[in-house]
Amino acid sequence: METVQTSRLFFRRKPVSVDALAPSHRGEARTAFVFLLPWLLGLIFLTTLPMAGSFVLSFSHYDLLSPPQWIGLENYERLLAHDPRYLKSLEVTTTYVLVSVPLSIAMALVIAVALSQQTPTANLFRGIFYLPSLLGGSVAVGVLWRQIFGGNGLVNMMLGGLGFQTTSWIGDPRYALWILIILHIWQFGAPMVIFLAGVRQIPKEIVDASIMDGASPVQRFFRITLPLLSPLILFNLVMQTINAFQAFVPAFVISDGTGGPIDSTLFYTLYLYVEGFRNFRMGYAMAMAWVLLAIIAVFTAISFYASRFWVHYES
Amino acid sequence: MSSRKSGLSLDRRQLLKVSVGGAVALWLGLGEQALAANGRMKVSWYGGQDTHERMQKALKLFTEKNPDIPTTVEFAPFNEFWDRLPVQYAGGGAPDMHRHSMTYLYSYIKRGLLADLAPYIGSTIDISQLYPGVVDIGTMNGKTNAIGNNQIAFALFYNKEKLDKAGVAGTLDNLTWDGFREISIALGKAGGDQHYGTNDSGGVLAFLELFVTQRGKSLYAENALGFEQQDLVDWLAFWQSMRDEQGAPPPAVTSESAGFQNAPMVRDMAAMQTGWCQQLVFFQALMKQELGIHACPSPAEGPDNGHLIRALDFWAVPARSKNVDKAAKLIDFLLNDEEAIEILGLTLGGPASDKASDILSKSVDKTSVMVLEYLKDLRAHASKKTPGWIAGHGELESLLKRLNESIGFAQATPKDAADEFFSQAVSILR
Repeated sequence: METVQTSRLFFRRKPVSVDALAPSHRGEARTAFVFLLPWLLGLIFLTTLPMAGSFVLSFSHYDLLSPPQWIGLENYERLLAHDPRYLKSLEVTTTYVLVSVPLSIAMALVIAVALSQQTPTANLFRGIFYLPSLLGGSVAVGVLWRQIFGGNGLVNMMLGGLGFQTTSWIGDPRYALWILIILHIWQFGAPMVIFLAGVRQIPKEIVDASIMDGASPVQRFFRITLPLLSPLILFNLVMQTINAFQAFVPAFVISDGTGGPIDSTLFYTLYLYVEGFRNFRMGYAMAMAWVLLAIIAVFTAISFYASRFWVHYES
Repeated sequence: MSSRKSGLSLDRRQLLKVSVGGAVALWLGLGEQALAANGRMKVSWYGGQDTHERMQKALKLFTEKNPDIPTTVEFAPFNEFWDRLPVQYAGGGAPDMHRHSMTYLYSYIKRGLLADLAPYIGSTIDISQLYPGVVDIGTMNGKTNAIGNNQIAFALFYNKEKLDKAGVAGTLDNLTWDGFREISIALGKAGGDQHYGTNDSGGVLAFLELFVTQRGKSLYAENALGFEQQDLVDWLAFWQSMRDEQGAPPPAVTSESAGFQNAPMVRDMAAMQTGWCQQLVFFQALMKQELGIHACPSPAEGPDNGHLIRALDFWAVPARSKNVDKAAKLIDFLLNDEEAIEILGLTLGGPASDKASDILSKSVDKTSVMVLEYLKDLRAHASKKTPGWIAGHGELESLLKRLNESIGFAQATPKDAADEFFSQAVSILR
């Protein structure tokens, strides 16, 4: 069986210097290096150097308009101890991640299993279910969501027609974040495609054998499908968690860039953006970015650590 | 023979030379083009589609009259413009001349980022026709870092039909705050369920400024707030009482009302709307029913009605621009050229001079004339002061909006919110 084995994705090999290679391989290595060069240059100049720059600037007072001033750990101190709005953004983002990621993965898994049959209609539905993810975090979807859940939106037209009291779902701090969570769950296409590939690779013999033994579909799902897909669940969990922590566009579009009503949709990255670009606190915003990196690293590490208790690698 | 052959078929080395040479030539060519672009004066502004069209037309005329000053343009809606401009200043790619807003002006002046235009005043830039204050408001410590491109004031817009129907049309004269509240509530009740008197303006800092000016105070004094905590409590409580009785919509409606097309008045949920006077034109364009314009409420007594008529948007030039003299020429053109004034109409706001006002009153449409008349009438009753804002205004504005919202959602009292505003203002204005 050939499921993707996450633990096996990482392997080590001793680095070999070009001189140690046979002459025929040396040329090959050089050619490879030349081909890699554009990417390497991009990595160095567009990724690594700006990252290093932002790390240094995170220890400064930098308003974009005048030269940065070194202030040591003050930005980090303010983040952790003196900024209630930052804590609010952390709370909003964590709620968003903890609720929407598991639900979107569960949704993707269920739909993937349901659509795993090889029939023409299943193909059609796979396409349809993937569509929302193609639109992804686009601005158009945000605008559409406003139309659906706004005060005069589609949902209220239906609820009003049925005689319910209506409210603006995105204008009310009790519901606004949940509308964004629904939006995230709705975009389950990417993990679904990965699960679909995994489901197809489950050996038919095992399934057939379990049917012979009289296992019900529910039993088959929990005893066979789920354990065999667990490496993929881990993969999706990690990727979705990272993505969800970095979510920006939906909150920006739906709240008009404010994170409102009363900060109920103030995502981490949105607050970062507001502080950096609107309030001229770029040094502070960079400190926020580095703390976010640390938070994501911790969540990823926890996922990997916990995986040893539930991820099943068949080998 | 051999030379002919090499001319026909290239070997690898020659191919390399040719491609390197070609690349160099291409690079030089592009470099030349980039230099040419540097010689052009880059002009940028924010606004809506109408502003973009009119500004481009005015600039075309400028280039026709000054063929030696080629220009390039850049424009964006307000928010995008202000997200981009600091980055352009930081990276050295700021436009040579751009529109500036009082919301951010002093953040730029404070840091010495804008060129001093004072040496050009009187020579290149003719200010003899401009209203007093248009230049003063961008002048600090003897340096003129920005020149106003409009003069505007806050105003109350109303749907005539709705006021007639509710029988309150005549009550707008000498409107007091109590009267404003009564009319708003009456209009809300007359409209029925989900209808309100006016938009919730408790979060509008410029309207609060009008309110405290009427009490003989100012929004800012030096680098701090210029009014008392109690003023803010009264202000926030006033809007709470409006929301309580259908005078203003609940916060869930307000939080969805950004942008002209989402205003409660445009969505047929409110009969009135507050805003900057020239916005009447934008609102009218979105509505079939006829709109009117009136001064905002004011206390029964007082030396004036507390309205401030002043420049809110400016023309400014970065200190690092190499084209300050050309930019000065353009500023003069946009402020004084009769054709340019006619082309721009009211898209940048109310006129900055009587001359512009006269030209416009002959050329613009009926709604715009109402705005001009409003400003003309208001000058007789308004305050003569033209106070500027200070660095941090933008952040305070969003803070006030958020606090007004949390009162609406019953998460704070006006007292709590005012406390919060004053304590946060200290660190924002520091």
